[in-house]
Formats: sequence, C-alpha cells, structure tokens
Amino acid sequence: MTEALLRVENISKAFFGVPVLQNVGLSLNTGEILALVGANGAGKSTLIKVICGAYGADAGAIWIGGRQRTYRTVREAVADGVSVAHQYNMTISRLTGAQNIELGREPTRFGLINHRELRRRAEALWREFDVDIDIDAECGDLAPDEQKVLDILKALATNPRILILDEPTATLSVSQSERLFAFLDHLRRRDMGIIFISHHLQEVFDHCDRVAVLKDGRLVFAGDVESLTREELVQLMLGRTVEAAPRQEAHVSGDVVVSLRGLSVGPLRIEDFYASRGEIVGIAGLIGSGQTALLQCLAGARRPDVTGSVEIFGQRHLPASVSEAVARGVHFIPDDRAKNAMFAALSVEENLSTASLRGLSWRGFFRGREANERAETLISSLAIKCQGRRQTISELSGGNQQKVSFARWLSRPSEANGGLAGQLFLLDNPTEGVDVGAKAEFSALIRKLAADGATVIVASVDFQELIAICDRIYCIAQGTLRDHFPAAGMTEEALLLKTNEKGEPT
Amino acid sequence: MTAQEINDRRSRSIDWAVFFSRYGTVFAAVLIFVVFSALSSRFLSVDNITNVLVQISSLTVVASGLTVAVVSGEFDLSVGEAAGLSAILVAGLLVWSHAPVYVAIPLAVLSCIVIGLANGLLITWLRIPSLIATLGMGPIALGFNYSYSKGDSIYAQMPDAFYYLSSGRLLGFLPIPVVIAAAVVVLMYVLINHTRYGRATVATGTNIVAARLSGINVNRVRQIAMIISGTGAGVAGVMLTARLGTGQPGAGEPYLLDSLTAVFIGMTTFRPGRASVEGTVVGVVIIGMLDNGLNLLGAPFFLQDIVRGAVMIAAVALAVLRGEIRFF
Repeated sequence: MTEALLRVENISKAFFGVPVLQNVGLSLNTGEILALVGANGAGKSTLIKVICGAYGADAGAIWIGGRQRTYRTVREAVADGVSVAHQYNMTISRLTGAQNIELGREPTRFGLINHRELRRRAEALWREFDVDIDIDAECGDLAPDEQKVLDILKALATNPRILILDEPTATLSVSQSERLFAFLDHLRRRDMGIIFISHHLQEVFDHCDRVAVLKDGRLVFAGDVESLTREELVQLMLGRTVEAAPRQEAHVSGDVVVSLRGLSVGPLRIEDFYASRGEIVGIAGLIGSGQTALLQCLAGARRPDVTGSVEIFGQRHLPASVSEAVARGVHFIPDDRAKNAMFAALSVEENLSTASLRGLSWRGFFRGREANERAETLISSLAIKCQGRRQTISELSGGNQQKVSFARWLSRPSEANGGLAGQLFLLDNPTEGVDVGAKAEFSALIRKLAADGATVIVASVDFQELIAICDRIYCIAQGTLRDHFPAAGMTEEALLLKTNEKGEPT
Repeated sequence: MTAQEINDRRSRSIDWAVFFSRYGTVFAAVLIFVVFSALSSRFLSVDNITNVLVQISSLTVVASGLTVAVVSGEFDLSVGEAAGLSAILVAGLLVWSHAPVYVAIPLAVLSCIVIGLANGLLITWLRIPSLIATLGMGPIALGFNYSYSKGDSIYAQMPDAFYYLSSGRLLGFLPIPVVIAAAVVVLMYVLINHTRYGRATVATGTNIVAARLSGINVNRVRQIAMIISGTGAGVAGVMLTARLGTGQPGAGEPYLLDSLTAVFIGMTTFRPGRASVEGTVVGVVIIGMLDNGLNLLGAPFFLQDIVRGAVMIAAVALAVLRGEIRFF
C-alpha cells in the first residue's frame, strides 16, 4: 500500500485538563475527499487546528507524505502544503478579492507592494480554478458564498497538497454549495487531498469518498462512505449509548405568557411562536439562524426589524432595555459567556451580584454582607465548584462559569414576592463548552425552574439536549420559525433534517 | 519530608508570590522612602514630609477622580487641561471679577463638571472612544483657558479665606489640602467599594457587554464616571491656585501624566489588574517622594521628567507582563 498523503497517529489534546482529543488517528489519500463529522464539541475543529499547526498536540504524531512532522506555527504547515479554510469567514472586508488572496505574501518591488504582480497572481489563480468572482471588488461587497470561495482560493494560493475545509457550506444555500462542490471535484482530480467538515450529512453522502466520525474526542469510525447508511452515520455521531431520558412530566399550566407573531429580526422571521407558563420551549436551528437575535429581542438587548404583534406577560410590547426586561421578569443567559456574560477578572460573588445590584443595595449603598450570603447560598444550592465566593471566576471550569452566569438571575432579592411563575428565562446555547457531567446538572436545574412555574426558552445547536430538556421544540427551517413539535418522540435526526431544509434566497 | 510537608511548602511559596504581587509596589514605596532617607538628611524631617504631603494633595484629588473613570473602563486625558482651566478661572474670578470665594470656587469646579459632562456625552452618545474624546477635549479646555487669561499669569492678592485652602491647619496641625485629599480618597473608596454605583462601575469596566446584559445602565455609569473625573480635576485646580498663590495658565498640564502614572502604579498593587483608589494613593506617594527626593539630592531638573516617564512605563509593563491588564 502506498504511503498516505496525511497520517495522523494517536493524537491527544487537552485544554485545562479537559481532554478534547483522545488517541485520534486518521489518514488521507491523494485525490480523495475525506468527510470529518461529529456532533458539536466532538473535537473536529481542534483536530484540524492540531494538523495545521495552530495547536500543538499533547501526544501523537503527524506524518505527511511519509515524513513525520511537528509544526510549531501555521506558517510551517503552510510551507509544507497544508492549507486550511476556516469555519468563519476570514476575508478582510476593506480589501479587494485579489488583495485578500495574496494577504501576507504580497509580491514586492523595492520594498513596496507590486500591485500589478499581485493582481496578475490572483488572476492566474482565479483562471486556474475557473472561478467567476470579481476579484477587484472589496470583499465586503461580495456575497457570502463568493467570500467563502475567496477564502478557499486564498488557501489554494499557497499551492497545498492538503486542503482542509471547516464547515464551508454552513453559510451557503444549496445552489451555492453545489457550485462549491463542483469546484472541490475539480481539485480532487488534481490529486489534492481534501478534508471536509460538515454538519450536512447529505453533502457527505453526495460528495465525499470516505468518512471519519469523531465522538467526544475519539475516533469512532473511519471508512468508505458507501459502507454506511445515513442512519448508521447518525448513530455513530450521536453514540446512543447513553439514553437521554426525555422529560418526565410537564408542568405546563396552559396560560400563554409569551406570544410572538410576524416578528422579523436579522435572517429570521417568526411567523408564530408561543410559550406557556411552566413550559420549556426549545428553538432548534443551525448556527447563525437568528435564534440569538430573537432571544436578544425578548431580553431588550436588540430591536427587531419588524415587530409584528408581541405579548410578554400581558404587555403588548417588547422591553426597550435590558433593565426593563429584568423588571418584567425576563432574564437572558447569553451564549459565548466569556464575551457576553462573564466578568472574567471579578470574583464569583461579584459575578453573582451584578444582576441584582438594586435589590442588594439600600439607599445607594451596596450591602456586602447580604450579597455574600446570597453568593454562598447559590454556590451551595447549585453545587458551583469553587474555592469560595472570593475566587476569580476565570479560574473555574466552563460548566461552573456557566452555572454562575445562570445563577445571577436566581433568588434575586428584589423578586422575592413575584416567585418563579412570573419569570421567563432565555438561554442561548447554555451548554456550549460545558462537559457532560455539568450538562446533566444543568438540565436538572432548568427542569426544576420550570417545575416551579418559570417559563424557559432554550436555543441550542445541540439537538439531542433540546430533546432531553424541552417540552416542545420549534424548528428554524428556511429562515422561518413556525413549526413546532412535542419533544417526546422527536429524534435528533428528524431535527437535523428539518433544520437543514434549505431554501433558495428569493 | 512527607508529602504533606511538601504540599505545605508549595502552598506557602504560592502565597508568597500572591503576597508579592499584591504588596510589591507598597514595598517599592517603602524602599524609595528608606533610600531617600539615607541619602538626604533633609528628607526625613517633619517639615519636609508635611511639605510632600501638601504638594501631592491636589494630585491625589485628580488621580482619585481619574481612578473612577478608569474603573468604569474609560480614560480621561483631559484632566490636566481641565485642572488648568479651573485653576485660571478661580484666580480670574477672585482677582479680576472680585467674586467672593464661595462663588469663584463653585464656578471654577463647575467648568470642569461641564467638561466631564461633555466627555461623557461624546463617549455615550456619539460612541467616540474615551481616549480620543478626552484627548480632543484637552486642547479645547486649554483654548478656553487662554481665551480667558489671554495667556497671562494672574498675580494679585487673593482673599485670605482662599489661602486657607493651602495654608490652613485643621486642629492647628493638619494641613487643609491634606484633609481635602484624604476626604476625597475616602469618598471615592466608599463610592467604588460600598455603593451600588461602584459595583455597576466595576462591572462595566470589566465587561461592558455582560454589564449591559445584566441590566446595568452602562451609559449612565460611564457618564457619571467622566463627571467625577472632571470634578476631581476642577477641585485640584482650585487647590493648586491656592497653593501657588497665582493663576498660571499652564499649571494643570503635569497632572495628566502624573495622575495616569499614579493610577497605573495603583493597578499593580492590592488587587493587581484593577484600578483602585487605595492603589492610586500608593502611586501618588511614590511620585511625590521621587519628585521631592530628587530635588533634595540636587538632581538636574530633566532627570525628574525622565524618571516620571520611566516609572509610568515600568508600572504598565509590570501589569501587562503579569497578564493583569490588557490595553485595547
């Protein structure tokens, strides 16, 4: 057997003691497209970052063309023919396509950029790969798929043997994706090895040669795409070994406390949405479908493009500010806690108290003792693992940080009278970067809140979790939020299919 | 040695590291004090120490106000020119307009409150980064200063009541400027650490997005912080004129670098990475001792400037290297 183009052996990688990759091995041959699939958090992005030199591996080896390689920087990997087009758009909007393609390796003459040569090189690449994009336009003026192709062209400009594409189709429509695949087919015929990461299983079956499945940082399958059925692949990705118990009993009271009709925000149109008291409502959608924007609107952190008709706890308008939302009992636990929810440099107590400053103060003076007592209570009742309320929150694990950013909204002193029945919790991807054990605790916490009468709306890209926690799940399909299903009896695959229905932009 | 003992040792050595990162700057201050005491016989005398305390009192007031702005996550680069404006206004009002002290002082301070208000509006309404907004506000304040004073110093006898601000003694021995500075420090300490506003300010300065999503009115927090910073400059300007006995158009300028340096030194101590009034006081004391000590030792005048700049860079470098603060 000939030596593989790329062989990864027993790669392990941990972040802050949490293993993200464990003994992962895979190989890539010339002229093939290898699909790398796995649920969110399975370690796909980490694996490619190890391959391309962005992260060092804790253990294991990488062989390229039969030679062992250890890259310390991305630049070294690029020089060796490994090129990556990352998940997020990396084009710089104020530069033209040509300038983006040649970014960081601009041809110079007498120390100044040689614009003509730069343009010539970009154009050669553009012709070689038969792309139909205006490379003289500023990237900010191009369509998303055009920017994606530019990103890939930029990766191709280094003349790689191995091309890694991290969810290139996530932001593309079906016909845009088809064009991208035609392009990839073209590359495959040129004996390039391509690793393709996608959540869209149909693409894997239609366009890839082999598939490697990651689950919780381990490789659970590697083989020909033809040897698997779709159901088997989903089974491998999700590893149904732990049977997620669906919610036992619902405490839904019947009164509708939130209802939205004809609201439009960002890419999302909400035709009809409601949530009842004591209900846990899920919103399933792919990353970037607008679920975050919807929650922000409900939380008073964003204005919608079209308001439509709104009713929240009997009031017929959206909160105008976060403080108004909070006063109405609407609490938002945003995604990306490091950016949106956490005061990294502050202590656990300070983090817990920020949302209750009014209730914890008397005539403008902050009642430190009361805040400390509340913090102690929350730490013990939520089992937040920390050295005490004084510990800096950035030293806690992701799950415990998330508990803190959630706990801010619990037992707020000013709300002692209202009770949970008049409260709405909005959770955006609550278990992002949270380990399995903490996830279970988190689900239990959410269920308990609902059992006590609170209404909970959870948006997540982790569909398995939505099914496990929620009473009812809304699906974002073709940019529209309308259809909903009882969570009992729902399968992750059905949700995947539902949210993957792509509409052509009209 | 048992494992337990090794563990004990290790935890003790970690404690030392924490202890040093917290109090290293305080030790540096003590060290400077000891060195100057040894090198100059005049340094360690009641007269000289009183003199130093009086000299640094107005700087303490500016720097304490500036600390609140930095805690809220903003800079105020207009404090120097604002203090200069207040200094010249109070002199002009007393000497040229023959205004009584109780009118002149509030009006001078008010001018700086207006500057702080304008800074705040630029930052919150127009969303201009505070660094730029206040950098521009400085020359504007200086322009008003010159248009009022025509660039001239104001020499004339001011009312005795005014000089009480510099030469008065509370209970017969406590210099009034030191009393004012101490009162401002205590006030700002309580404000930051024991009020709702203080908590909101710390939160806003740490993560403005998270603060907003916690229901904190971050614009109001920053607006108030800028007004406090301006007010501090205004009060300091008045104290400065009282001490100098004359109105000098350019008198406020050194306050910018000195107060920023004090705040940055303060960020390296007590609770590293966070601006605090108590830390700022340590910074002010270090700056005051360096100025005074170098003077006493007969160091050339330019050395003071070099030392000042070097101390500021060193303080920030220390904090940045330890990963405690990050700029931009």
